[in-house]
Amino acid sequence: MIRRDVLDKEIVWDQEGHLSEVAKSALADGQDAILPPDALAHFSRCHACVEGVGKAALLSAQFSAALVAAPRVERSLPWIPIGAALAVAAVSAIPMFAVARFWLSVSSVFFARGVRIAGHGLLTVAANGLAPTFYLASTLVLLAMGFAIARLVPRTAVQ
Amino acid sequence: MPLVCMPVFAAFSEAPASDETVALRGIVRAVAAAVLRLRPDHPDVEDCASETIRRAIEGDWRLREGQPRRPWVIGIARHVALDMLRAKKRTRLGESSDEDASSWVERVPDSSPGPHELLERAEGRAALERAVAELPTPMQAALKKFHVEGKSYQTISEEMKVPLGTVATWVTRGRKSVAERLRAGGKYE
Repeated sequence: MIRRDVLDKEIVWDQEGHLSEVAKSALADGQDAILPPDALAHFSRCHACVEGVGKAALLSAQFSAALVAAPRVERSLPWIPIGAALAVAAVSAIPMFAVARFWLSVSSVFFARGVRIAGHGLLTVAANGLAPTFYLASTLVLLAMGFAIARLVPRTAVQ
Repeated sequence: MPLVCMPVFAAFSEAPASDETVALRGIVRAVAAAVLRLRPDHPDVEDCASETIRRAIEGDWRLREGQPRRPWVIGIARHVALDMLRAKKRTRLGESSDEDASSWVERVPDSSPGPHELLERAEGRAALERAVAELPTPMQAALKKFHVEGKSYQTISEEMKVPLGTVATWVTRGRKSVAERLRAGGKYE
């Protein structure tokens, strides 16, 4: 009876009685189950076939690595959640339209003062010597690096 | 416990992963024999196989989820064998420092790249994909099902409704053909 789950003898052996390229390739790919027992026995004692299987395994492994390698995808900003949040904010702001002029004037005062206070703070830090300025600059650099790693570096590089 | 020990401990505590790695010893020995160009029963091949298995078990935590173990372990075997070759070469050069410089050249192993090295050096995935795209369609499908989807020859045979021998031949000849196309060089540049 012909077994359909095992390779035919004509495919398994070459003319010199060694394993064929196909059989060596199957062994290299871990497909031992489709080879007849005498082929596995030959593999265990034939040095030439072992070397051939080794070469086939190297080729197969590098083929897998090359084909499966994940493409370098940059992490894009989460535009959908950002859009949804902006939409919710816009809808929530509708009742405020009646008093928009008041809020705009308050906000402009708030931002004008805020910028002035922030500028004054930075000047105060700078006036107190190099150390506080250095700490502040280091903090900003660390924050920028964190953002770069989290958002700009490809996922594969982080892994 | 120092943090650095944790992955090693984790690797040893997961017996199935270790067993799976140890089961690859046969193929690891074949790879080492092929790279070192030595008989499979040579002590250096055995050393290389043992070192590979040790590194694979200890570094098991590096294996990403879904990443196939077999190519990963084979890659380690190749690196271990190449390291061994380089170490031997350095030793030989050191021992023969008083000899004629021309003898060094004769002792340097053949540096001509094999098909696997050519494949590795290929201009990344794009060149490989172009080479694969030139194969007959069923051969491409069989290669992708095996290498990308991780299906066995048997499963591919059932899915494509072709004999098992045909799948085995497609995979073998497809890979060989791609390696030869890449070896041809400038054709894909």
